Amino acid sequence: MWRSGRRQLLVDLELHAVTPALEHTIAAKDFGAPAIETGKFTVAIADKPIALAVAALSQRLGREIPAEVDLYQRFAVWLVPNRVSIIRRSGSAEVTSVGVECEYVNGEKTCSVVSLLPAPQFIVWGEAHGGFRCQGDLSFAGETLPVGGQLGAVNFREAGIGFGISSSAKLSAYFSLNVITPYVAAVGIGASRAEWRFDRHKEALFGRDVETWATIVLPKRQKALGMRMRVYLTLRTAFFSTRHESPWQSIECMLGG
Amino acid sequence: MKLLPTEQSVSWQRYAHRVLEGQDTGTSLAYVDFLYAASLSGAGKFSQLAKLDVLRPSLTITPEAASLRKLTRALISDARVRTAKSVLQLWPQVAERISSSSAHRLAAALPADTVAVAVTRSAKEVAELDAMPEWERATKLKGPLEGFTSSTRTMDLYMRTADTLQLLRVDRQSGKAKLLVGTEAAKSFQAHCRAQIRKYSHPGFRLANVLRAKGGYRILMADRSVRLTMSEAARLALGQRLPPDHALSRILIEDPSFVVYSHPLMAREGRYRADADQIAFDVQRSYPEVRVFKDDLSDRTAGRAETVSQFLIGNPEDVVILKADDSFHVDDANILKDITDDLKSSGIQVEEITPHAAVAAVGRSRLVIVLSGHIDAKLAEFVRQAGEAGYFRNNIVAFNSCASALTSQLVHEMNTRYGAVATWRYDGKIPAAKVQEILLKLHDEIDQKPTLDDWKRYVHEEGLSGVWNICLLRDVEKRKEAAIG
Repeated sequence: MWRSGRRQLLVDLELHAVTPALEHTIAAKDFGAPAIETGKFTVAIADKPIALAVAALSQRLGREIPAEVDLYQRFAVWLVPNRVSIIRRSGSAEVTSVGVECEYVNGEKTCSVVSLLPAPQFIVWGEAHGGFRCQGDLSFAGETLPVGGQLGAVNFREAGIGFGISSSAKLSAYFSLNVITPYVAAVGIGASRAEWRFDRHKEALFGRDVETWATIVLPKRQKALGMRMRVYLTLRTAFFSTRHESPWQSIECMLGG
Repeated sequence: MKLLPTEQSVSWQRYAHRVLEGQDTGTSLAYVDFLYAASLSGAGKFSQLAKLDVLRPSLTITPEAASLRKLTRALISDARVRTAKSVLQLWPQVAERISSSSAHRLAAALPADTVAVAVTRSAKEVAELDAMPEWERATKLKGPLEGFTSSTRTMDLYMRTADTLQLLRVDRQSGKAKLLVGTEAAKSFQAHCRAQIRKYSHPGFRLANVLRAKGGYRILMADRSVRLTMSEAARLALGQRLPPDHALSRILIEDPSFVVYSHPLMAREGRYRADADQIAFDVQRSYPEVRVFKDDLSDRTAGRAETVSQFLIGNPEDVVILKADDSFHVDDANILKDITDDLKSSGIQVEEITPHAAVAAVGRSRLVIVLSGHIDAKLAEFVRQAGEAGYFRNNIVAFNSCASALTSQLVHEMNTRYGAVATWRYDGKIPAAKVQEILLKLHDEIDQKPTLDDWKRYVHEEGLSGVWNICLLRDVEKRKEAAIG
């Protein structure tokens, strides 16, 4: 209803949902074709990822990339996200592990994974709220290193990762992201293929997006990166475990962040 | 003819010791005889030969042809030989019978004034050099052989031993050889250079011969000579211009095309070529608006320099980048694979050369770009295959490779053997990242119809320097070119 001046003007407004998907229950949401459909669980691979440029992140932190970082003369370093959503539709089965396999498809062009997030060496236990955190130093060349002690303030957040100025290293910024389990395995550095595996700790591995990142060196002017992703789940019902695996799914990551 | 030591009482053994210790240099003929005797004995080491008193009776023997080779070997193996001239004068058969490679080794080991005698047998070799294509001749100049020129009357072979320049001039008609040594040879060489520069000087093109002189360089031109001190040369090397009133600055303002003469002694790697290259690169670095060329001067010099100066990339298709098939194993630091999509998006052609590439219907008057991250035999194989397939003929080549002897040779071959109009050659090492940036700049500006001055600008913006090389087509190449049509 709308009131204007002395006269009362009544207008009926039809309200439309800004994001129609939010108006539905999670179980009724349309995530596109699921990667895995067990009847009890639906797993979907995020098919519109956008990568973050490490150079742009450093610029936002007010740090110019030093000239001695030769890498940037020919290449760019990107933080490429790989996300998987896992929903339980029915039943009481538990997800005991989730695996994410990624193959970065760049033809004959340069494509090399420099580091992986999260990775076991960056997991920090004992957060105040009982959770876990993946944090460390991110160099401008895309390499990650564990950092000891307390971190400074997060300057800004981008796609779920907090970035701040590192006090321990001149050439790097630190990153910080939440993880649902401390039991993480990550492999693939130096290759064009990476794999993560998350094993359940306390919190459920479903009902959320499982997020992984790879820092990848690519040719300077590249605009997009082709990827193939595959997910597997290990479900446990009572004492029985079953493994479910998705087919490879091709997606394209925009290099524009 | 006296073949014995002056002191008759000296035993051969003691004499041999004295010779080997370098104490006796005056009794050269006796020493020759000693060596001859020793070589006849078949013994390999002088320490053993010193005991060979028994050979004394054989000293008067006239050397047999079969033993001359042994004598030659003895002479070559003993760097202290000071009597080879006598040997060769006494027994001209030595010079005639030794192999070409032995002649070169002998010439390198012997005193300067004996070299020509050693290569007298090579009068035939001089004629062979004359008949060779330019690129092939460059590969034959080894040992003391420094350069070669020919005219309708003579063939001149330049040699150097013990830092003395020698010129063996062979008359084409009579076949007689004449040796000019030291100053005489140097004067003759300078006269040749002056004559070439005067002959091919052309309005708008400043032809210059760069020579190292005491305390710096002398740049000789048709009508004047400019002196460049070492500090001025160092300034140029840093990319700094000389003061506007410096003679070189004034000349470069007058004539914006500066052609550094590749004289005959630059046919092989050495200090002459290094000096001239350095001055050419440094002048180009310090005066980017000047077009610097290197050429061995011919009636085509002006025309080719003009072609380079006026070349315009009217269409993206005027640029062809040659990509080596994987089987060549050419290392280009993956540059081409990384940026091929970008280059193709602007219409630049990327063509793959295979090991058995047939002669291609290659366009003319195009800019052909060759890339390499590492200069080695594999690159040479790739370049020669592209040359055989006709990619360089009548085209301008930008050769993106670090400076090296092989690079110079390949540039030379691209121009003379494979008929390129001119080839761009870099100074020093060129990082892959900079080459990539240069190519991307070309891609970015391709719609603006860039010229080769723009190419030079891209190079300079990356802190690099290079010059255009034009090379003379000798009669042999001209005939081949005419046959190809």
